[in-house]
Amino acid sequence: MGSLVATSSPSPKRERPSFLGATGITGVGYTNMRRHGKSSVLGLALEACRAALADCGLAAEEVDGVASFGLFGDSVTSQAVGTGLGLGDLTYTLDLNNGGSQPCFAVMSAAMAIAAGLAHNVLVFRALTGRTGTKVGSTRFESPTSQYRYPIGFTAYPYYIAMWARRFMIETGATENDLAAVVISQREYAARNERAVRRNRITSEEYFVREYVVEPFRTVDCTVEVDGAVAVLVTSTDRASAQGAPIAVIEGAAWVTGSGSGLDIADFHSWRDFTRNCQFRLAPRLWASCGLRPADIDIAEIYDCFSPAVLYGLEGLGFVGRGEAGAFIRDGHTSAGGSLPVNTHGGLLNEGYVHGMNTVAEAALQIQGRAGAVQVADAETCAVTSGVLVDGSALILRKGDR
Amino acid sequence: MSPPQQKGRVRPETDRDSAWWWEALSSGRFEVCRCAPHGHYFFPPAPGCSTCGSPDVRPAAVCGFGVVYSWIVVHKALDPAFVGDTPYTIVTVDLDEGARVFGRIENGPLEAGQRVCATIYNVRGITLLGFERA
Repeated sequence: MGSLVATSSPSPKRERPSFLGATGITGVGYTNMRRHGKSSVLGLALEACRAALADCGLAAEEVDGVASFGLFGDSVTSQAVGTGLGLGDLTYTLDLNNGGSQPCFAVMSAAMAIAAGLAHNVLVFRALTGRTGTKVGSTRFESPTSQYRYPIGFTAYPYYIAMWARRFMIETGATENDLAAVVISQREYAARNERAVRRNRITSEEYFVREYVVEPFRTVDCTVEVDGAVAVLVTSTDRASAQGAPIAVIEGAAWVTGSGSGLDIADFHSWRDFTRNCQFRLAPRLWASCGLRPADIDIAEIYDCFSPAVLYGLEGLGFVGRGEAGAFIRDGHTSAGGSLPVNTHGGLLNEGYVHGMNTVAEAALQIQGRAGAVQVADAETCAVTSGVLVDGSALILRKGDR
Repeated sequence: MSPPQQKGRVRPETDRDSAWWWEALSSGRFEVCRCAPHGHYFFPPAPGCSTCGSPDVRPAAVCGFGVVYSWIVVHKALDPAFVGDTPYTIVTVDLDEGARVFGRIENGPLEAGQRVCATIYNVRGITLLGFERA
C-alpha cells in the first residue's frame, strides 16, 4: 500500500486521510422491519444497537462514541441512546440532520474520530418510526424553501425525485423499462432476504399494471416505509484484530455538499443539472481516496429510495457510461452471479426504508462474508452510497485480514 | 383561461428573506433576485447571490417567459390538501433571464424546451405563481 496519495484530486494534492485503511465496521444490528410497530424510536434504536454489540461481542462499557442522523427531528439523540444503553462517558457524539445523504458520512465521521484518537468504538445508528410515526416520504416539513413547493402541491420526495428522473430520461434515453429493470432485479434478491418487507418476485407485465404515484413512478418504484432501526459498530482495524472480529475496512470515503445545493435538503432551484446528482460530484474523490477504479469493485450497494437512484448511482460512480445503466441491469450484470451484484438485500425498495443505514449494513455483511442467502462469493470490495439529490456520501469497503 | 390549480390550498410560510417576493406576487408582479455586481438572476430569495456570493442582491422584474426543463404529473396526492386536485402537473421552468422556478401548469402534453409564460393566480385568497403554454 505504498502510494495511495490521490493522483486525480484537485491540486494541491491531498494526503490520504489517516482513517482510511485503518478503521472499519465490525458489528451489525437490525430490528425487524415493521409495518405495524408499537416501539418508540428510542426503543428501536436501543434494540438495533444492542444487536450490533452482541454481533461483534463487544461489551457496552467499551463503547465511547455514538453517532446518528435523522431528518427534521424524526430520530432520537446519540445522548439518549447512550443513556438507554447505560454507557459510560461518551467522548464523541454526533447528531446529523440531513437524512439519506448521511449514512456513509456518519460512518466516515465516526472513523475520523477514531483515527484522530477521540474515541475507540463508535456505534452509528438510524432509527425511525417511518410507518406509524413521521413519514419522511410524504409528510410536509417546514424548511426555508418549502414555501415555494407546498402551496403548489409539490409536497414530497417521490415528486422531487420524479422531477429529476423525467429530465434524466429525456437526456439519457432511459425509459420506464429501465426503472422496471431495477425493480424486477432487486425483487429477485429480496425474495431471498428474510429481512425484506416486499419479497414477492415481480414480472415486467406486473410492473406495468401498477398505478402511478407520480409519473414516471409507480408504487413499486418507491421505497417501503417501515418502523425500524439499524446500527453498526465502527472501530479500528487493530482493535478488530485483537478482538478477532471480522471487519469491513473503510478503504475509501467521500462526502459532498454540491455547489448550488440550495437552502435546504429539498431545495434544488440552484442545481442546474438534474441528470447528475451528488454521486457524480463525489466520484473522482471517492476513487482517488482509495486508489481503486470501478472495475476493481465486486459489489455495489446503492442508496435507492426510488428506482432511478440506482441508474444515477451506477452512472455517477462510473460503473457504466451515460445512459447505459438500464441495459446493464437488464443484461443481468447486477443480478446474482453477474459482474457487479447491486443491492443484494433487495434495496431500500424492498427491505424497507431505514434511510440507507441498512444499505451500509448490507455492504458490511457482504464484505465480512456473512450475508447469508444473498452472499456474493469471494466478495473483496464493495462500493456503498448514500443520497440521491444534491448532498451525498459514499464508502469503499474492503475485506479485512483476520 | 382557468387557473392551473383549483382546490388545493396550503398557505406559504413566508420569512424575512421572502416576504417581499410574496408581496410583489400578490400585487401582480413576478420578480426574482438579481445581484448588482454581475447581474446574476436567481431564485429563491436569499441575502447572497447563489452564483457569486455577492451580498448586493435586489428584486428584479422578469419577462415571465421561459422553457420547460422537466415536469411531473401527480396521480396520488400524498398531502390531504391536494386530494381533490389529482391528476395535476408541475413544471420546472428555466426563465429567459436564467433563474429556475417551479409552478403548476394545465394537464396536457409537454416536452422539454416547450415555451411557457408565467401566470399569477389565486386559490381562495392565496396568490401563487404558475405557467401557461406560450
